[in-house]
Amino acid sequence: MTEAKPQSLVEVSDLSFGFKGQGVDLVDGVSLTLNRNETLCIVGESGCGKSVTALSLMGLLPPDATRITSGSITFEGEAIPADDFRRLAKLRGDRMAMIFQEPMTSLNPAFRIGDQLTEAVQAHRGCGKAEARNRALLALEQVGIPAAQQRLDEYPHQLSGGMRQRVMIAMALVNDPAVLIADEPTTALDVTVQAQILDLIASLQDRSGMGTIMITHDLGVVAQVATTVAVMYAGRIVEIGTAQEIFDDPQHPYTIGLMSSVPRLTGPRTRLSTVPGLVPTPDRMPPGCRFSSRCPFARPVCATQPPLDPVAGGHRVACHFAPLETRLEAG
Amino acid sequence: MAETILEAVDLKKHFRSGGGLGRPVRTVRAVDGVSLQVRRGETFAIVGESGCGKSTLARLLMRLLDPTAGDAVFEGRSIAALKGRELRALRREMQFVFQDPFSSLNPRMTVGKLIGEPLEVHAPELSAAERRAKVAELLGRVGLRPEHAGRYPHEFSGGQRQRIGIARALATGPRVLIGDEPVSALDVSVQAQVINRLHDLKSEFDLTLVIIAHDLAVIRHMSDRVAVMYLGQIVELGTADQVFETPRHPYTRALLSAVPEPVHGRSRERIALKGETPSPSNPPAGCRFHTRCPFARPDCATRAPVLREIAGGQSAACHYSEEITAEHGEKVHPEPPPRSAGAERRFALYAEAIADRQA
Repeated sequence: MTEAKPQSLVEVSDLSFGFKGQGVDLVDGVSLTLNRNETLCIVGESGCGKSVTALSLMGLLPPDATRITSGSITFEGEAIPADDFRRLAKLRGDRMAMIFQEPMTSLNPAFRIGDQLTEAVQAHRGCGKAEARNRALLALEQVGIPAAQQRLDEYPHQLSGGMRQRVMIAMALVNDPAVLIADEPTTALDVTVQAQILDLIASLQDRSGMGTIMITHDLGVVAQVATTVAVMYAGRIVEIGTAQEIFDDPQHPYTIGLMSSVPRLTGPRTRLSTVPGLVPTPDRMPPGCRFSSRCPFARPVCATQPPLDPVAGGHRVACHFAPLETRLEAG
Repeated sequence: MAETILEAVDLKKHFRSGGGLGRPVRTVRAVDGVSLQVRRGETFAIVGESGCGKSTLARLLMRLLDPTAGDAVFEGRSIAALKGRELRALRREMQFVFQDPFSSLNPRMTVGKLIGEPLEVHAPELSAAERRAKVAELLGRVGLRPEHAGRYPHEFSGGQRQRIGIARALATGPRVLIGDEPVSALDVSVQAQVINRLHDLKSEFDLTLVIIAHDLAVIRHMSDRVAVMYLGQIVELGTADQVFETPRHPYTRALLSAVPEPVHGRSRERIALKGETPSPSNPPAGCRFHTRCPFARPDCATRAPVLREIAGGQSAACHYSEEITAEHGEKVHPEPPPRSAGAERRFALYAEAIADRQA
């Protein structure tokens, strides 16, 4: 059997939700596709909705406080309404796994590494303790932890930050998930350790063909790992395309502002062009384009919401003035 | 060449650790023999990974910690033995900006009180009205509004809080500002705003900046000269251009090569470091980096290199710096290819629009 084209693992369509008591949807009309053996990066700053989008896929939003407006998630061909928290919870840790930013707070400090790993296996596999421990050991070896047998009996505080993140990855992968969701997996790590962890995720992905959704604010990490990039601002996707399209031909003023704000290791050291102001709070969301309150090109038409329209191929952007250099200069 | 304003002379700080419950006492050599000179008016950066001793060094430089050995010298005067009134006077001259704007501001004090407090201590001659005027002026300088003085820290975003921290540090009219990761807790766009603001304040207030950071691109952008630390020692020192364009220590090369650049399709040779940083309580013999150095030779395990000048003003602590450069080339990061013509035009339009808006 040969696979002619990439098979979609996850399809999110028109996902919108907010929290009860808030008028606007925190995440508004998000649609995403993740294919096998690909990495989808969701990039944006604090409050853009990237982490809650991931939590919603994992069924980790608090059901009592969440108001799902619309959306469905197709997971390996199975359509699941976005508000079916129980079905999503069933997939979590099994077919879908997640790693978080802070490995110290996501591991339980009171339990041995081995116990935490075997718990993850037994919860989904219903196998015996010995077999679960065997799988745990294999998982630790897979993520390159030296003396894995001995580590099983250690506590999280006995490991360095990089090693803890490897344990988190081992725990996520112990049940061979089809999808790995990584929320800022290297933000708390030093650059040389970050490089090791990104290499590790890439090699595990190559081996198993899993798809990865990586959530990050670090454009350097995105450029290194992404197949597809979705740029989010204030709960909406403002631009989406292949990594090449986003980095070589960015279109949305926010994408351009974000890239202009990042200091670089090469080139002239000129004053950074920033994105002025702050992300609007949910109760002060501007009508229409949510970026309009900070956009240096905003015009009256921006009070209506721009659709996420194609500029070329699969590259889409939500801006009335794309491409800027022709639309703006034409008046 | 500008005169030296702040100097470290063979500074050492050893902490004792352990010793409880019958465990052996260990000595953590956090800073282990650092000498450097900061010049008046420059931005001097200290860069390194977790545990390299950079934050301890910053605290030693302004006597927030007492050195185990060595001396820190401010404007020609040793500050290691200062006490009482003289130490308070030093605090006026040197101020600290902390990393975390959420935990470094007292949540029960208004912004006006937070910024006014250093004035109460260091300028008791000011009347309450004069102090209020000064607070309002400082708020304006860091890009906040005078009416913010009546609010509490929780009413502000991370970037605004960091500005409050900077205003508080500037209140006493210091000549040196030491920032320990001053922008690393901030979002990218806000980080850029604070970097630009620090740059402006530096010239407005005639400041010398010492910046501690782990983000190499931020360091390159902000600083004039850079010291790279590994396990309590400086392994490389030079101008920002020298260190980033032609690194002379293998650790600097490895660090630079590990930073992912926001450029698509960049496949460059990364110098992978094996393992993790050894414990500063038991640093390796010889060159401290030899256990992870991809270029190490047998005698690196026994002979400790000293920081020596390699090119005008650039020093590195490596026996084989010249050979490594000759063999592997000078540059670690080549210039990236340009973006599409349309994108370049868009970036230019954006920069113009932002400049207009701020003018």
